[in-house]
Amino acid sequence: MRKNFVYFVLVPTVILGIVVYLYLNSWIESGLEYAGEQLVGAKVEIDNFKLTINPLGGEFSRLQVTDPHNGWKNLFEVGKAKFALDLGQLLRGKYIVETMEINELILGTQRLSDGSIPKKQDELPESKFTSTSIGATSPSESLPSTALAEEHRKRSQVSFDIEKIKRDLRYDSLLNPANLYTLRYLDTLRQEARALDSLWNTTVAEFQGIRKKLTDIEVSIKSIDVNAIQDIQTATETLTKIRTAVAEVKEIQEAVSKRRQAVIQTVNEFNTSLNAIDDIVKNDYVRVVQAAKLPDLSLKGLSELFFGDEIFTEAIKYLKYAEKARTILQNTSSTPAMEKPQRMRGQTIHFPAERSYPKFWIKKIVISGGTARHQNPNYFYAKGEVRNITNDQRITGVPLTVDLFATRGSIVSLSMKFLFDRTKNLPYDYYNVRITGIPIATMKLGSPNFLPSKVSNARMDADVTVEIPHRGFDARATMQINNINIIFERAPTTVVERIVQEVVMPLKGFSTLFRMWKVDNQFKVAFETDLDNQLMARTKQVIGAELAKIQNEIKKNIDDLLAGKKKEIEKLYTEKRDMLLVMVREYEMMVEDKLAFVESKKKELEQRIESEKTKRTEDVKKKAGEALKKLLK
Amino acid sequence: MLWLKLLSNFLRIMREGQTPAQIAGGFALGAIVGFSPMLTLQGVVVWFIILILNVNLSAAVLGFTVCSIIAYIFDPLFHYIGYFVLVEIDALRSLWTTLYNAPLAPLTRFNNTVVMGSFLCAILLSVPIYFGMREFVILYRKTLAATVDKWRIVQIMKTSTLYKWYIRIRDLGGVL
Repeated sequence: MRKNFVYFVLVPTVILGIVVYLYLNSWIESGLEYAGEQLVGAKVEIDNFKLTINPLGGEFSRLQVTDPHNGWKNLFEVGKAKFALDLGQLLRGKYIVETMEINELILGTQRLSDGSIPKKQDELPESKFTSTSIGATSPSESLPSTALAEEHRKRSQVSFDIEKIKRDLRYDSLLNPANLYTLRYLDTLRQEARALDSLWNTTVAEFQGIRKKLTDIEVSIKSIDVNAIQDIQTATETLTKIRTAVAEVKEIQEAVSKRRQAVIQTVNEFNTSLNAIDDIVKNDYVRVVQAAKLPDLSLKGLSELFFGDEIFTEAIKYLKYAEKARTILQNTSSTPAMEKPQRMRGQTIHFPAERSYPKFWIKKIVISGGTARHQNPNYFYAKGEVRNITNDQRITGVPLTVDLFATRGSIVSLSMKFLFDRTKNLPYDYYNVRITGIPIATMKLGSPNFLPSKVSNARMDADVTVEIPHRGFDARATMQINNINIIFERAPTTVVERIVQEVVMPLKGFSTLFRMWKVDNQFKVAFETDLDNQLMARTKQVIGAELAKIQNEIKKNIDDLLAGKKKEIEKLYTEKRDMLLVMVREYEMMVEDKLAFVESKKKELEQRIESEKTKRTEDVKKKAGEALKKLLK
Repeated sequence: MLWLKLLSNFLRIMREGQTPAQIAGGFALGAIVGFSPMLTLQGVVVWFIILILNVNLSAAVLGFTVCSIIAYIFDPLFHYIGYFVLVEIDALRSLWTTLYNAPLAPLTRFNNTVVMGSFLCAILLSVPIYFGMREFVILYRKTLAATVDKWRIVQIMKTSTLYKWYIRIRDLGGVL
């Protein structure tokens, strides 16, 4: 017997086995917590995890998942839960759970300790999403939350204070040449107009050659005296010479015609470029007005400024969850790109096969809300089903669905239906959340810069639907807030604030519609309330005329700045264009004259040859007749 | 300290009574396990083979230690080879898919690039390692042992507490 084997291998192995058996539960618990924390970005706590042997699976008594945006609140917590693994598939290295049972899913519970995880320095800060400009990034790369944050930032900077707008107007910076695309465009046009010079020079050089050729031909043809030709051979040679001259003149005519077409094409192209100026000026005007932060009353910006702040902030927060879901839920691939893993970790390649099991699949999670008498009226207790959580939906062929219904104190109800479809090549996500009767202790309205106020003791019903098909995006949210009591934190300081206060003060409720969608890789945002028309009409009445005046002033400044340069280019262009066209016409006429001259000479010679032929024939006939007569005598 | 210990182990193995083939076999099998970066089914199987066959255990441990260090250095190369074999060779994909969905095979973690790369290298290298090691042991015993014994570092090691402690333990139950 190998004694050393017993002492140094067998005994330590047995001890190791015992240690593993004793600590396995806590190791698995820690592993699951760590994986959850990596996924959520906040503390995940599992209590009393136990590995069960028959059936092979696990159970725990409590799971808390911290809200990553509020460390003192849980996103949700669940009570006792248990699951069983398919042993046959476990031997294939696959984690398949037929049904997982969860008791007491509670949303938004308070925590006893802070569950936030400090961010590492090398991690990207959250502010990445708010500081990135939509224009600065490729539209396809911009995320809904980024786009919304940027749009909200822009919109919230709009002021309705006419005096402030007038004070802040800085024409020197607004009309800075670097900001006006028209100026750059005019410079380009000036270059193009100068290019007409080179066309002019080329045409002149070409036409000078043509003039010389035509003169030579003319001299040569003029030297031909048709009457002096005595014999047929000379006549034939002369005719050939004239025909060659005709062909040469026709060639010249063709060249002039081609040059004419080239000139007209260049002129037309330049004309099109010139006509585009008006549209470019209009765009510049829109940009300058935006830069001047003038409020656009037609966009109902006023109600958004008063009601939208909190709604935008909430929307951005929840859109980030949707983005995270889109990122996390990915199918596996047997041909992934090569990664650069940590040393000794490697990269795991998955080889999914049709009609087989994926690496991980929880087919069904049944959630019970717990018994009503034990429920805390401050929290949402949810029940329902979550189906098909897997690492590869193309293998399972079924999408991940979440269907939950929650109540709070028998008054407030919340239903959530989510669908994450990765079964096809193009991903599709759908979210629908309906909430009714939710009391709002306080809700901020306005903003520090515009009539700060809050609503207290109101009730809200909301219906939010978000569809994210592949790269598309369409989110709609309707909210009805009732039983409101608006408390203004300070007296209105401007006439517009006063208008808003007068309109909203008697309100007992209002409804809002928020929509965000994507068109041509650009996000569009719309915000409406049932008070828009009232607010817009009254605001237009008071500040509409003043705003129009400022807008006209900006337009006049832009027109003044551009008018001189535009005229200069138009003059330059018109001069060159007219000169070119006149010259081309002149040469066309010259060629036509020469061609007519050569053709007439040709005709003259042909007639001469014809008459000579006739005369000779007559002579021959006459001589033959006389000879015949002599013979007959 | 680690290097000193490695050298000490190495010299000890060279002198032990087992045949060069037993030492080389232990070293080659230890090398196969040492190249693998993590616990795998094939690693466990190789350890069992080491225990079942009458090969030198110390040589196996030494082979494991040395090759673990080599594996750490050549990790990027193993990753590259593993990625190439698993992803780039289309002809093998059906084999990997079958293994991936077969029982027990996934426990070998064959679908990890570093495991695959290092295992292939270990298998290929085990043959030259075995023969090279065997020749080296023969050569050592014939000609090098006397010279090495005279090295100052070897003298120091022999007088160290660690070495004396080892001799005491070794003499408890004969040679492993």
